[in-house]
Amino acid sequence: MTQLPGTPATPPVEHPAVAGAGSARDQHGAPFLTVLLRTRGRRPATLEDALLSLAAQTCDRFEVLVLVHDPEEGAVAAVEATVATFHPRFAGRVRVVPVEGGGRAHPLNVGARMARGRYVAALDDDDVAFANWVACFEEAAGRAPGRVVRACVATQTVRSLPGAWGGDDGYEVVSRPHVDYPIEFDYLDHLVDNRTPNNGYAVPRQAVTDLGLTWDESLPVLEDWDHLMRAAAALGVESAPTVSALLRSWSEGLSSKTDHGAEVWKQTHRTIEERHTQAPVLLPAGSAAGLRARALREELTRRERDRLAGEVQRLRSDARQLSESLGDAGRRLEAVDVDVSALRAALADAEAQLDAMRSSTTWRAAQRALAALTALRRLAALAGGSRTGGRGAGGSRGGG
Amino acid sequence: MTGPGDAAPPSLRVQTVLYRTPAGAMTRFAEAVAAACAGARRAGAIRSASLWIGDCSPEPVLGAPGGGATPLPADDLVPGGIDESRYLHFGANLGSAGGHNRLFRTMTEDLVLVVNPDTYAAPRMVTELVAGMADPTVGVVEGRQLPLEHPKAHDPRTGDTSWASGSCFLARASVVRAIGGFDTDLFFLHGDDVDFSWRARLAGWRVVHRPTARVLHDKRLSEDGMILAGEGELEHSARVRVLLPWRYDRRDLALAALAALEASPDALSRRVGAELRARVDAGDMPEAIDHDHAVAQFVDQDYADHRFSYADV
Repeated sequence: MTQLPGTPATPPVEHPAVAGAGSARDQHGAPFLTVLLRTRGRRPATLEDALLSLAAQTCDRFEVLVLVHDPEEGAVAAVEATVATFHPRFAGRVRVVPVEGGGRAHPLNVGARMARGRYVAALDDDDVAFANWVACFEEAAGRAPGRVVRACVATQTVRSLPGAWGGDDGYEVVSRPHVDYPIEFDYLDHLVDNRTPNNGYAVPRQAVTDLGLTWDESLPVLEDWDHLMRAAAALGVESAPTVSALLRSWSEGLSSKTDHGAEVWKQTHRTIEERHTQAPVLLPAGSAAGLRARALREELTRRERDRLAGEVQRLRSDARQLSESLGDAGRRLEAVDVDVSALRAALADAEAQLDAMRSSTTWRAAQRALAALTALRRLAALAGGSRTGGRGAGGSRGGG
Repeated sequence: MTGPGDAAPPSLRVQTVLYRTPAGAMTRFAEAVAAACAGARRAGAIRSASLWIGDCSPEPVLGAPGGGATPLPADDLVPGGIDESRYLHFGANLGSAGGHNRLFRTMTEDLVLVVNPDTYAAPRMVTELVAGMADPTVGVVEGRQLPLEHPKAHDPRTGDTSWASGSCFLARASVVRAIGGFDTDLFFLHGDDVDFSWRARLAGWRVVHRPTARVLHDKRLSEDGMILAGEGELEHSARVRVLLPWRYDRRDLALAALAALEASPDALSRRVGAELRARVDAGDMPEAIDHDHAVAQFVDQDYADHRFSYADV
């Protein structure tokens, strides 16, 4: 079930068709999982990688349907030959199925109808599963039988290398894996965008075959998002908080991104959003708390935005006043500057006059007379005491 | 050795060293390797194959206790590809390098596949690795690991690379004998493969990466996209950061790495740093080789140019 942090698990509405689909008990020898491995037979190199990653699973309670969509001549035989090279314990659990017509969703629906597993999960031919991919789903289904089970998927960028591998079309990994998708499922988050690639979840097979939770074949892309959300609303989701598969993002070469233009992706996104808008939504337990938390966050955000807007307003006003004050001060400074210039000119003139006076004969004679007069005054002071204050009793304020 | 193009295809030994690997995982490993050997025999790439399993666990994972060579009890799980299978419980943890060296002693085959027990061989893996030996200058061929590919660079045309990961490489027996296998004095778990590759290159052999030789190595990712590693791996990896540059005559890098360990906030790193500092002070560090830096490559904290880093944000 979709669980928000800190909320108790609540059993989903159990549909008779899917009840017990995830139980540990093996019903009539059915494997736990059918892997719907979708390919067009054009990428043998990555298909071999995907098959290897399935053969190496730590849990072998699964079968594989390799769904070769609109195969070119010889493609099915080539895939069958590749499968046959694996150990019989794995190869014996793989069926190769040509699928004609329809869009990306069609092979998945065909595969689900042929599946024997209690759950079905999709894997594309350029995906790679970690060795615990099936085990993660099985453990989660054991905890919450009948629910959608969801694990986390990492993304990695690869670059096509045509003809690089001895004639085979190879590829090169050019980035580390990034865990961009949330580690746990959150229904509300998924209303915004798809945060679970198609290899990140498994659904009870009978939900597809008996309850009509098929992949929508009218959608050219994003059929996984639409499918997951309908299945999640009907069955609930149990998360396995583990990175269990890699989704390859092609920087060059064939992919669904190149098969369909940006406008198709955008339009389909809008279509699915509109479906979410139009449909009544029964939210999983815990969603009310989540919605309250989001509403509170929004309220706090709004208040903070308002506070910041007020602050900006105040700062603008201050800035205006400051600017005006600065303008006034600038003008005063200019005036002071003018005054200072005039004073400097006057001072220079005075100094010139002073120099002229000092160099004159009259000035030098006056200086000598002044010196003689000063000497006479000192003699008089020594003889009769000083009125102007010397260093004797009475102290001095002025000095001589 | 004999090789592709010669009258008789080469004989192959597959050897792995386990430590507390669950028996079920060993069965999957053996099945996959057997299927890969069967494919190689059908393709005429090899004429025979033997499987040697060395067990470093305290208690035997397979078969009867004791150190003698005993038949793998699960012989019937490896049909069609393996002529002979042997299981040896060492009774001691020799490490990956020591375990492989012990198994090398009895090697009579032309080629040896060194492979981890936590792997699953693709059906064409052995055929492709042996095809990589078509050029007689090639001494070691490395497989491509999935789902987490090793980031070190290789020449896309020739496959030449700095070193081959010991998780899965094929070597000529003559190379193993010429360089004396892994250096167990220096390496236990990590770095042994880098050193093995560089000494093979110093001896004149090429080391190449073969992207069509697929092998699934059961590595996992953390929630933040980092490769999960045990404390033992981290400890040995830290030790190698000092030992490897010292060995390859880059004492400047070795001492810088040692200082970084000693200054690390991480207690494990500081412990390793103290241990290595004592070795340096006691003059107990390895004799340097590759004085001209002909093969050793130190790029940041890696031993090759990398296409990307698992530490990238």
